[in-house]
Amino acid sequence: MKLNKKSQYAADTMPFYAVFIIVVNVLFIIFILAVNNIGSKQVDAPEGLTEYLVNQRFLRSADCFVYEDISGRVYPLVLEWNKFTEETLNECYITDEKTKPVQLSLSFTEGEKKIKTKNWQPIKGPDKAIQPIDILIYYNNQISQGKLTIEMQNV
Amino acid sequence: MILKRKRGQIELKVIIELIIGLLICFSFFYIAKSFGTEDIYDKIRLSSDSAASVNSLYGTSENGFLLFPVDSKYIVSLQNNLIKVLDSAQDPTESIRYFIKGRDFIQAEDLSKPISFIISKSGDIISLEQDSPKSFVQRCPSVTLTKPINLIISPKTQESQLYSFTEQLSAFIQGSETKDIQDIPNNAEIVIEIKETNSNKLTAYFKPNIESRKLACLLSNSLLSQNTKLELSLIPSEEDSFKKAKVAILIEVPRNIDKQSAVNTIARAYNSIT
Repeated sequence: MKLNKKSQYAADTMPFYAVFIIVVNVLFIIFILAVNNIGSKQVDAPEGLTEYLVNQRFLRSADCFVYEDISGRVYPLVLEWNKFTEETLNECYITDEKTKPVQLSLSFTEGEKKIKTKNWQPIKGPDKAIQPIDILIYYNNQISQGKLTIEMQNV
Repeated sequence: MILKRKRGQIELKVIIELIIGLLICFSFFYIAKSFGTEDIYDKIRLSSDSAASVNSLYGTSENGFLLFPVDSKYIVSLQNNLIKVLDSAQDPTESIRYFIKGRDFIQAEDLSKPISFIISKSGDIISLEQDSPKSFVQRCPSVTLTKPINLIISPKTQESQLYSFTEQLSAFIQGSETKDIQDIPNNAEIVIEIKETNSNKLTAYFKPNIESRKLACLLSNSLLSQNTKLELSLIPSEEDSFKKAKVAILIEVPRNIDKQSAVNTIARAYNSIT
């Protein structure tokens, strides 16, 4: 059987267009996904910002461990040893299924304390640890140098 | 003739392919552009910025607010532990961002198409508002204050200009009585002393303990919310009259304040203590 020129031409170009359409469609889907991913990352809060802001409450808020004198004056970066408890932590950092578990360690010459949120999984261990932060510790009406370590687990 | 037709066919094919190629390039460009300016990104941006603001307000013990001058066409909603930005109640592309709650109370609020909005912290309340807060209240200690069996309000002297004030206050608060400073018994539970001042500043002095500060804070915050033009100071003090009581405060009330509403406000605030 002999094909005429017209049908011969169509038969030659058909596989090319079939492949071409598939490739363009795949490229199109990849392109949309890439644009979507890049776009939402660009407008969302930068990575680490939320952690930074949350960590500030441990260092600056009297609702957490920061020393507050009787007049109500708050001393950022001065942590009160007696306030550094799991009870205080769980009140100033209320966890749910979307909140990263946190473990905090406070140390100075007189001792060391380690506290964690209710959702901390001890077997898992920390996924991220922030370099120990130099802070001051208020203990027995005295202020001493100390270090605070913050460890986090992913949700 | 056949050759000519073939050449024409090939030229037409090239032109068609070029047009298709250009159309694809243009559609990619158009899609990228429309994606970049699409509503969903505005919503994500607004919700994530707002949630970050709430997290930063939790990180401070002070009052403060953040202004968002966005001419928004969306509904901005502050709820228990999240910020939601959406077009309408049934918006499938709504953007939700969570913040981590602390002790401060979240006052839930929805704002529809705000020209600008404010996320503020006043005392221990974080709220979403259309306008900047008229006044900020003090953050009160979280200690629990229990109502005593007996409350003493001073002064009692009829010659005092504050006589009617303290008498009315006593009438509004169950289990309270008025006494002059010198008549306050030792080991009194709570003493509230009232004085007048010519300044526009409301000053509350308190015995240097956490319960007294809490009481001073609660009562002066109530007065402040009633009269937002007042300035407020809380000062620990070692007044002689404070020595007899476990919890003692002295409120200096500006002379120009409406006494009747001040009485109501203080009584209401005191009665709200459980």
